[in-house]
Amino acid sequence: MGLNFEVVFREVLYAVAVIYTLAFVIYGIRAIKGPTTADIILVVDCLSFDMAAFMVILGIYFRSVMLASGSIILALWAYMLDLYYTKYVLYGEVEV
Amino acid sequence: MIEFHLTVLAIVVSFGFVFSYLAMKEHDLLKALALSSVQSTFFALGFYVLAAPDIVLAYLAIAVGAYTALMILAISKTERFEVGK
Amino acid sequence: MSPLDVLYHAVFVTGMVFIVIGAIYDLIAAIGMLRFSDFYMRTHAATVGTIGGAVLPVFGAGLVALVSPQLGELRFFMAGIAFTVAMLILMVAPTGTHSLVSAVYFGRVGRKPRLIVDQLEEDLPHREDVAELVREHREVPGEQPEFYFRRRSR
Repeated sequence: MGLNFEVVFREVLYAVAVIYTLAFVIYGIRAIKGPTTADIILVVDCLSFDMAAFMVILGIYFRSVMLASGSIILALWAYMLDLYYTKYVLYGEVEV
Repeated sequence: MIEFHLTVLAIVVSFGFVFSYLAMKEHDLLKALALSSVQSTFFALGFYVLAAPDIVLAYLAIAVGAYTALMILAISKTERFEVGK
Repeated sequence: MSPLDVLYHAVFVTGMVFIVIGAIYDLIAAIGMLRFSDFYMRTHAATVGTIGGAVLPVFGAGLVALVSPQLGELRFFMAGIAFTVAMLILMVAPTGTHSLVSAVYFGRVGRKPRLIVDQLEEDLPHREDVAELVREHREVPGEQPEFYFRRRSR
């Protein structure tokens, strides 16, 4: 007996994708409700990293390296948004 | 599987619409920028589900990265709050 | 089953378990992000959501991609991308959250929660670099913020 890797991965992916989509929806509700700007930036942070993880998992399903490589860029640009918000709030000016 | 794709696409694009509306109605420009970045993150996943890798790469670098950085730079040179109704 | 087959099955099952646990972590973090009351509590949910919900499933996806036969020769590229993303998020997420929390604390964004003890505030008058920042800025949602631009002191 041996597992068929492709079938098992596809069956698990359906459940995982439902859970991830539900989590994205709940993050979005917090971003709508967020009282301050920092809450929204924190939600963007979490959302971007989780979306990067979801992109890698879906990239295995789509069998495409090009699709999965967008997650590196997403993680790095979300990090830059944090640093720019911090520099704006604490120093009032931003240098590029 | 196509139902799953369309469901994710519908959810993501609906959230993008809601966030772009909220960003348009906001008087605090920094908060509008944060809402706009949420919208661009959702649209990136939308382009991903549509299986367009080149658009994903370009849209991420522009809408999540360069747009927010340049807008924060522009806000820091001018004023943060809109005046008037 | 050959010993190599057993190894492949072990790696695959480990990766799938990581992915499923990561998804559950992500849902827990989202619920916590929705229901916690102030910003400093929400950073706990952010920690669960980034390290448990992003690094763990990406690492598991790398393990799965390493043994997936349907990917062909692409599986090494996919595993490399997955491990790169896992290491990047592992380095980048705590740094970003720390900088965001420092912005909220020193910039006084939002209403400060009721704390029993705040040792950083007791320590602040001895540190002239951040004490200047605390005096100048205050921002509460719903009110007009007392905010003006300042120059960097040094």
